[in-house]
Amino acid sequence: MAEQPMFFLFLSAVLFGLGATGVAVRRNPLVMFMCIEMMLNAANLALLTFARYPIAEPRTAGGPLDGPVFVFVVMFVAAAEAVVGLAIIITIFRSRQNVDVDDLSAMKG
Amino acid sequence: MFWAALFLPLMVGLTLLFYGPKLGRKLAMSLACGSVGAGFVSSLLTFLHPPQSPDQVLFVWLHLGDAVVDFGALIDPLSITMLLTVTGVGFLIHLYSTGYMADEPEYPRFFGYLNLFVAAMVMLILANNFALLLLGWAGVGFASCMLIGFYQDRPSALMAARKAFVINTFGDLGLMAAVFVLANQGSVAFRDTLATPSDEGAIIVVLGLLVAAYAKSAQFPLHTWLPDAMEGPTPVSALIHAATMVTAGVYLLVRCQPILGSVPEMGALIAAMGLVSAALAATCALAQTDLKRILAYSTMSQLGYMFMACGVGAYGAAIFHLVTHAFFKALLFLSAGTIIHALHGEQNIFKMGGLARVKELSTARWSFLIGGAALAGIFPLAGYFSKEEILTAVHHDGVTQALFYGGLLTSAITAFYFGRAYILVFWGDREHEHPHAATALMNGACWVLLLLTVGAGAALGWPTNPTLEHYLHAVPVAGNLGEGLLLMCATALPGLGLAYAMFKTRPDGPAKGAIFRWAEQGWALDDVQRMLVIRPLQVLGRMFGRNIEDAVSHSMPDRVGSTAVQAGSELGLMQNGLLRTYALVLLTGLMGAIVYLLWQVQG
Repeated sequence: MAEQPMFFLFLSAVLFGLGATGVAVRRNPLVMFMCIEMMLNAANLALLTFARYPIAEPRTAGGPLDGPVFVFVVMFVAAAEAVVGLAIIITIFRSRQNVDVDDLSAMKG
Repeated sequence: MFWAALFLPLMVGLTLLFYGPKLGRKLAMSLACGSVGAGFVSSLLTFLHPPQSPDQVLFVWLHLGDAVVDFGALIDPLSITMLLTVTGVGFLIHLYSTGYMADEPEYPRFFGYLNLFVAAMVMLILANNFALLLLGWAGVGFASCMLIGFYQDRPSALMAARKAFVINTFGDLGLMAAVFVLANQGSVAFRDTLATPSDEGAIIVVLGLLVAAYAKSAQFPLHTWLPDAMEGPTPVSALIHAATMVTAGVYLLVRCQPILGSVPEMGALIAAMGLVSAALAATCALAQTDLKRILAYSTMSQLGYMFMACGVGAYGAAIFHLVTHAFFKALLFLSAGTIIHALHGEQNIFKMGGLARVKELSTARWSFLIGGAALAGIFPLAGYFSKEEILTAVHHDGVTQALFYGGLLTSAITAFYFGRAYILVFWGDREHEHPHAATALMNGACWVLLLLTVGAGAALGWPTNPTLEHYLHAVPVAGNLGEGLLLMCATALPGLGLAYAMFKTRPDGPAKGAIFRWAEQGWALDDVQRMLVIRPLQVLGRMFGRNIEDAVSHSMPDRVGSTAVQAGSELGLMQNGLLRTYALVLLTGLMGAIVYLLWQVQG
């Protein structure tokens, strides 16, 4: 079905847009974090779509497993990032009793 | 072997400058004297067993364009003669200084620079190429500047040091110009440049060498630093005048005689300038009231004779006079130092007088008398032989007899001003309270120099047997003892007689009259220099300071700085510290990038 990849890509774009909007408008770092995860997973979805429905036939570059492997890399990075990010958020909360990102503006020029 | 003469004083000098106060007075002074003494011994051994090949290369030092510069020595009779004179006289002056500077709290600095001075001069003499010679040349200028300005609490000493340094640096520029021209022709080594002097650019090389030699040897018109350099301690004056500084110019000309020979027209100019310096300095010495300044002008005058000899091609005679002059001028300065030391720093000859009756000063008195008689050219002292030889050479040269008669007249004036100084210092019946006695080492150094002054002339340059000139392979001047004695009777004796007639009653003050004041000021050449060189440069400097420096080196960097600061503070506003803004900017940028890429793909 020709429409199938377009559907997945569209879903990916919507998820990415939601995530980006969330990062830009929300003030709670935990929610911002979740939004980042959403953007990453939107990218994963796009990668898998392109792996499943190659654009050109025959393939001009890469093998059939490039997309899935990349998705794994993204997931590992996201996991590591979550560990570090959550640790930072917890530390900030401990020292300030407040994690509103708009209050964390000590580095402004 | 001969390298010891360079490296021992160099290392000891640096050690004294860096760690001097920790060494203690005795050790510091013994090291200083010992290193120069060892240098003399090594020079003596080099003299007795000269190396097989005169060119001794230690290592390759520099690559100047295509020219390879060695760190090497040229050991020939000329450099050995100079080496013996410099380290020998330098050693005696070091010994003397231990007594003269006994009460000086800053002795490590003094002896450190004294050793560096000797080391730099030795490097200048040993060098087998012009680049290394330049290094020693500049080192001599630096060390002399530090020693002339040794009494740092005296503004006049600092001014004198600065003046000496500036004029000497001007001379260094001349030498540098010569070195660059030679380096451009492919080599700065003596073995190439002197063996086959190139005609191309020879005039620049010769002029550069002359400027350098004139500045270093205090010849007219670059001589004005020398009288002022008397601000340094007296042993330093002795070192500058006898061994390590002013002789460098004569050495340079003698070393470069093949190059000078390639521009024969310059010879007459060099000889004439030599006579001008000799006569000018002698007339200035007539009117001085400061004992050391008399000796300073007499040095300049004697160096004028050496340049005259170089000008007429009598290089052997020039070196002979250099050696004998080193002996008797060191003797004169050391005895003058003893006198000044004894009188607690008094240098005015009109305030001396009556010193012949002071028992403590008998060595100084004999030294001064013999040294001065040698200066005046009295047979059979060292100065007599060398000076008569120069005069004979000038006479035989036959370009113009004016030089010869000028030299004779100068010689008579020399005898006259020495007679005046001697009478004013030693005669009369003035009493002196508690003269400061000289130490045994001080007197010992004087005695050794006294023996050399008496004996060296006859031993090295008896007219029928000029040992030194044979050793140097120079063309001997066909002198004649009878003619020389005749010359002495015609010049030195009338000069001394006139001095006796005029000063036997010992006047209490200097002669009045504008001309005497004028001569005392060195014919006001300082003022001429100020008008012709310093003033225009000051005006130029002020103009640059007002118009150009303000714009280029003040406003422009200031503006660069203030622009950066302002840009920073304005760009800094972009960092508002809000994470969400950053995220938005990031996304906008990403969006922009995607749109651009899509547009590229479409296009």
